[in-house]
Amino acid sequence: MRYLPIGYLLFVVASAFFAPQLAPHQSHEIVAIPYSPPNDDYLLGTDSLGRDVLSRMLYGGRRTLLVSGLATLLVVMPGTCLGVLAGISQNWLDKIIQVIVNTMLAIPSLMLALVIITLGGRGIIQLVLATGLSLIPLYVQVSRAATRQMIHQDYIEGAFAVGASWWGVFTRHIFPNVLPVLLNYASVIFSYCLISSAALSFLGLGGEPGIPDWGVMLAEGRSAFRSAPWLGIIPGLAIFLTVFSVNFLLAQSSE
Amino acid sequence: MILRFLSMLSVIWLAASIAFFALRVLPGDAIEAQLAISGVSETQIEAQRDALGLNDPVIIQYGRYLAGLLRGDMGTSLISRLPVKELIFSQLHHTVLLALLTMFFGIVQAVPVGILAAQNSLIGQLARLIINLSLSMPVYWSATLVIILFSSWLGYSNSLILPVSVLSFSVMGGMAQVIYANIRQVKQATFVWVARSKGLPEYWVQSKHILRVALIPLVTVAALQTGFLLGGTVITEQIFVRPGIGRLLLDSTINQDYPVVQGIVVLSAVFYVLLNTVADLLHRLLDPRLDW
Repeated sequence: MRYLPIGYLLFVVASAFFAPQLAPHQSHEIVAIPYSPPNDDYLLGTDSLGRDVLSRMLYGGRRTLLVSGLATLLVVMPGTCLGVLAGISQNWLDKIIQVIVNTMLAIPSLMLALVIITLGGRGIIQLVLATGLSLIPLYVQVSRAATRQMIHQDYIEGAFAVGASWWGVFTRHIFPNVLPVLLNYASVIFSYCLISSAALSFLGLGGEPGIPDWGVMLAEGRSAFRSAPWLGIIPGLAIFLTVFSVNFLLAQSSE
Repeated sequence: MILRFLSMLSVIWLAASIAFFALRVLPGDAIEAQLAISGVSETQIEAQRDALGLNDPVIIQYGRYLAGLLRGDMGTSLISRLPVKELIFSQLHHTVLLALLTMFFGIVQAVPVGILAAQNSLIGQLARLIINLSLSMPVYWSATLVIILFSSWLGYSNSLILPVSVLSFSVMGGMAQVIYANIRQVKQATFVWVARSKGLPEYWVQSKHILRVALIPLVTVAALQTGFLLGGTVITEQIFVRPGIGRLLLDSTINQDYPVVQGIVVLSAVFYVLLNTVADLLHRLLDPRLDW
């Protein structure tokens, strides 16, 4: 059972990586009449302008995965630092970090995203920021909770009791034990990033003209859902299956 | 308690300030854009901005804004010239209705699915699959599919059925997963072991001992979810062509109607803080092990 999602994820990553080699056409090239249903020449059909959907999916996956991956890094790095710091300190620093986290959660994420995109224009960095920023507080909360739980374990208190230094306890006992939780949650964050970066593109905020991504394709496909339903179904299915595979493997690993 | 109150206030104040300054960083404003289109002269634009106080130093505008907030005054829209409060309240009931219905049906689905997921049987596996489906389905895709499938014979224009079912299924997964994870954890607690060894019947142990404890964290998760829903469900509103706070937020930010955006941010911060406090109080009431 678990080989299917692993296989799918490998397939998605590989096809994104080798998109230029695999794609039969350029992503912006008009190759056939618009709205051709999937057929032998164009495996996934053509879109509203007559571009090959398969090629666009390959190039689009490249961008969608890149944005989600970078956004995950953007979340995980400050999220780990702040969370672990808050978890260890348990004093005023913890309180301040809590207030920051709550403020970030209280602001609608759409507003931040809109400000970043209006200010910075369209581009990959802006999309990464717009996707990742609002997810940082969630990661801080999880890493804080994991660290706190660890700190109250007997063997940690024991290590302090025998005179181990703060830094030593942290690097040798706390961090290695928190790491699995952090990595686990990083993949949850990756699936959030995938969903919300595509959501921004879907709302018309993320995409750059001429560069396809799954969210843009889904939004374009939605406007033609009556005459050409495959245009909305295919990119959505790709997003869904990617997130589903990640979640499935996570659930398996926790059992 | 006082510290808590202070930190709540500072969350609202910080959110309001971030909204204020983030929007001032953006070039231009609604007046400029509006008047530039209608082809009015530079001097007229400046006169307008003077009258609205947009030419004052930022710090004075900020002070005026905070003072207004303390009086419960959110300013007036730069575009419609209506009070922001009025604008928001004209949309709020749509969002509140959608959020409450979504949460109600979300919880109604999450509780049984979460409980079943903890079973070691085929049904348990199925329930875990449903949780995973809910977590992996982006709203914009499930909504699109639902429209492709049902629009022809349901007429989705004014009906709440489709948006509520799509959204409630999407919030269900997170809550069901929390219930499931808690049941698994609580099952191993000593008090459950004691209850079993006292010879209590299994259904009694399950319902009175395990469930009672395992359902408590649902309060916190549900509150967080409600907060997000009240902050606007832009995508759902967009796809199902419904009015609401999310749409107002999107339109006002794009049109650079700052006072409205600030108003929505403050409102959702207030909602967030209130919901969290209520959830915390409930949590402590239900679980006496926690203290202040």
